Amino acid sequence: MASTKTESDTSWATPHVFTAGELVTSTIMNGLKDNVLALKDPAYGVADIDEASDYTTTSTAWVDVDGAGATLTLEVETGGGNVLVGFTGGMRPSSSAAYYMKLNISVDGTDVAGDDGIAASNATEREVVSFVWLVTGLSAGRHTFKLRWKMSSASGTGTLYAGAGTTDLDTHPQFWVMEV
Amino acid sequence: MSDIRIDAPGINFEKLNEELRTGLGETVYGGSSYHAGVLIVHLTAEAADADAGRARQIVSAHDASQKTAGQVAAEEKTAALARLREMDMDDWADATADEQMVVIWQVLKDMQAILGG
Repeated sequence: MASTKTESDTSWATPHVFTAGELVTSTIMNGLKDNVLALKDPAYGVADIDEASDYTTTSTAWVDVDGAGATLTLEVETGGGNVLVGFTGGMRPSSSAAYYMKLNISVDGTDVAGDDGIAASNATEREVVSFVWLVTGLSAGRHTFKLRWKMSSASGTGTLYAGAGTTDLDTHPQFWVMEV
Repeated sequence: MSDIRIDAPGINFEKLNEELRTGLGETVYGGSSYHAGVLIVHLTAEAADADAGRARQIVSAHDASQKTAGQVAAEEKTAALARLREMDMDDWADATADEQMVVIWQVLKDMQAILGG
């Protein structure tokens, strides 16, 4: 098996503005129809993770979880407005309770949350980490979303289990975005 | 922050991280990330060009068979738990006092390993 990634752009187009007395043509009506379909099938991206090795970090600055590749990077073209971003995965936040693992997402190269990001944990046992984040006010066009993380100390090791066969932790994270 | 990408299959990530932290120092070393055989060493803004070369040397000299103290302790704990679970006490009553002392001593050592003492 290998990770799979699907990215689907919006087909939304700026709606036609009718004027008084205007003849309604099939082109105009098909435009309306296409936008209804676009609402039914909004832009989205999803990465289902199944890797040969788990992800680990000790970075004390925000870095991409998949800095070596682009599996946890999603690029979609949206019609502008709000986008939901979600993540669920089995993780080991740290080898020691003295250190915190912190999660964030970036949109077009900018982390959405400052300080300690969206969520932080210092559990030494394996746990499920899951969040949904609403990104508001995006412009229409192509946008890049990345899962990011950092540790409170380079002495702590954070792990994201990625379906790599680790005993009892052969779990498969999912990272997704959807225009709403 | 600057990143150095190094192909490094088969490393002991925790041990290498310890070596990089010791070799580069906390003000230069900002941690590292590892996935699919690629190591990314994160250097802080204070890092000089020589630090990047030093990082590559440390990775090159890394011996994946070496373990951190924490990994050794974790392995000893796992082994101690296994020994206690598999301990056969059926012959306890027939054992000599010296044999019983040996068993008691081993149990105490295993409990110490499990409790991290």
